[in-house]
Amino acid sequence: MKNETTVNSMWNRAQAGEGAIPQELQVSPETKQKIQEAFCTQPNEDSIKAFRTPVDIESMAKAVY
Amino acid sequence: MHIAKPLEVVGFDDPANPLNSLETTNQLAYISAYLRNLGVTFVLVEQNYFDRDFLSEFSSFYSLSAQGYPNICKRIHFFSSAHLDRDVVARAISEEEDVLDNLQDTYLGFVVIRPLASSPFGRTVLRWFDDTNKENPRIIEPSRTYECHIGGITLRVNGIAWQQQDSGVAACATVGIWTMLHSSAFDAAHAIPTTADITKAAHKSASLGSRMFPSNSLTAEQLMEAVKEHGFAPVACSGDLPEGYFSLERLGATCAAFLRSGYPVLILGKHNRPGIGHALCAVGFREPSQPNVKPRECGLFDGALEILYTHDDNIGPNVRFRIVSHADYNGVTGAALVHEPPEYVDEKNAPNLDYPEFFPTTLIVAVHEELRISPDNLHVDGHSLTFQIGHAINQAYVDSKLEPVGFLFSTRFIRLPDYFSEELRTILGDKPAILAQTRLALLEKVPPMSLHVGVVRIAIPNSSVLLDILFDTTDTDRNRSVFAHIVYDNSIETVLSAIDEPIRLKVLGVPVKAY
Repeated sequence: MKNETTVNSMWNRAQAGEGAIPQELQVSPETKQKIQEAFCTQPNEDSIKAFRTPVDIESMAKAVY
Repeated sequence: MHIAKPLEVVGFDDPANPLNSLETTNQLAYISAYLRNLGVTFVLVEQNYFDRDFLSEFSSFYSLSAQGYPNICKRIHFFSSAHLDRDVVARAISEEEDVLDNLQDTYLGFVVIRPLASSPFGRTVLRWFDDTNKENPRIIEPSRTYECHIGGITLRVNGIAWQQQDSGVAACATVGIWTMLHSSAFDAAHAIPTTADITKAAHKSASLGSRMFPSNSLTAEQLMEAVKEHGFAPVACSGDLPEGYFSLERLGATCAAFLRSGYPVLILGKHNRPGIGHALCAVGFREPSQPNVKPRECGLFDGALEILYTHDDNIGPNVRFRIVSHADYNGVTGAALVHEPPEYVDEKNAPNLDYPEFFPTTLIVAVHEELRISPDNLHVDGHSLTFQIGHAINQAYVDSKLEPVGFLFSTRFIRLPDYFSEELRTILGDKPAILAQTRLALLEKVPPMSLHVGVVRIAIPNSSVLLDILFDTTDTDRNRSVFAHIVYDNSIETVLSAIDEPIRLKVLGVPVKAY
């Protein structure tokens, strides 16, 4: 596993992750089924709900800048 | 009639430096301190300078004043050279190469001084401080190169323009929009409007009876109208907490997603005291340290952003603010911006500003018209996909008797040509064969892509980037159209290839091998 480099940035100094995941990863038929199911699973909505905030037109119209 | 005046070269502290005869204000204190910390020694003064922005302000407002304002400004250039006098300038103008190079190397930027006693600072571009923090670099994507022509020579400075509001032609938010439209992201096809153009555009269809000039303030709707009138699409984001305040994660991640894409962010909000709103324009940030992510969880890389650089017309350009969670004077908590000079600023040169903390409530960003999906939705989709991919990888980890891990994601918009060139070069530049293979696959195997793409990047903390997912920006948020996903690791492909092909194509787009 490639752990020797700290990739502090995900952009301007990012490094391709070849070798980041162990090569010995096994994907048995049973694991394959679990992977399929993973793509039907949704994350906990609370962790991202801030990003679903609608634009507050009413208060925007009141304030001046 | 204007009369001819010579160029003047004087020491920064010389009484003949026009800055030294200005009324003492926060802006003067900040700009003087900023320049001192850059090591300023000399100034070159163009005593007669016609400034496009001031001419527009003059034409719209000041020319009709009984005060008899002149239509001409001064432009002051700042240098950190050990020695500068008229002779050195003359040698530079004669194109003596060494002298010209030295002048350029020591050039710190310029300030246009308008003939307005209470708001003299016109267009101002100052160099950024050298970035000494390699671990957490400063991201200043909206900055561009400005060229100044003096007597046949050209001096260049990288930054983004700031100016003081005059309350005649421009309010603080107008100046913020003006800075926003100076961004490097808009270089290709748009002329930069003046503040007078912006105020007129704001009143064109959203005036509702308010007078145009003098312009003390604008509503958020007028600001968005002004953005539209100039051929861009306004994107607005409201705070997610009571009182319209932002949570730290949402403010940080949203500002970072725009700023990485070269789009400055107009931040509307209020100071921690009763009174009218204020606007400032974020033009950069310092990359955060990686957040801790627990196994099986997914974290938002930019959610931990702590430092924003903003243009604040009440202070000056490139003002460093720390984002903190604070309670306002009513006891309501939200993300607040607190002015905090960097540690390397010499204490005796730190401006002593009485500046209350600022609580953002609305973000407005001018983006390209063809960019139709919202950063909020890109974050939601990024979170969902990172969770699902992480969940799938961890299934394989656990079945392989390995400890599960956590994942990080980050989002941004980028022009497709820039993704092909800069982004892929950054990540694959040391592997030319793979770089070529990836670029060709994107070109030949992926259906035609939009000019701008939304990128969701997924990584393992303290390791490397695993995957980029490219979103179509010309479709709706609801359709959630993806073009392709670039896989940087063979073992990830082992996991992803376990997904039924039609599902993989629908959720992640065309697979592209980059290993």
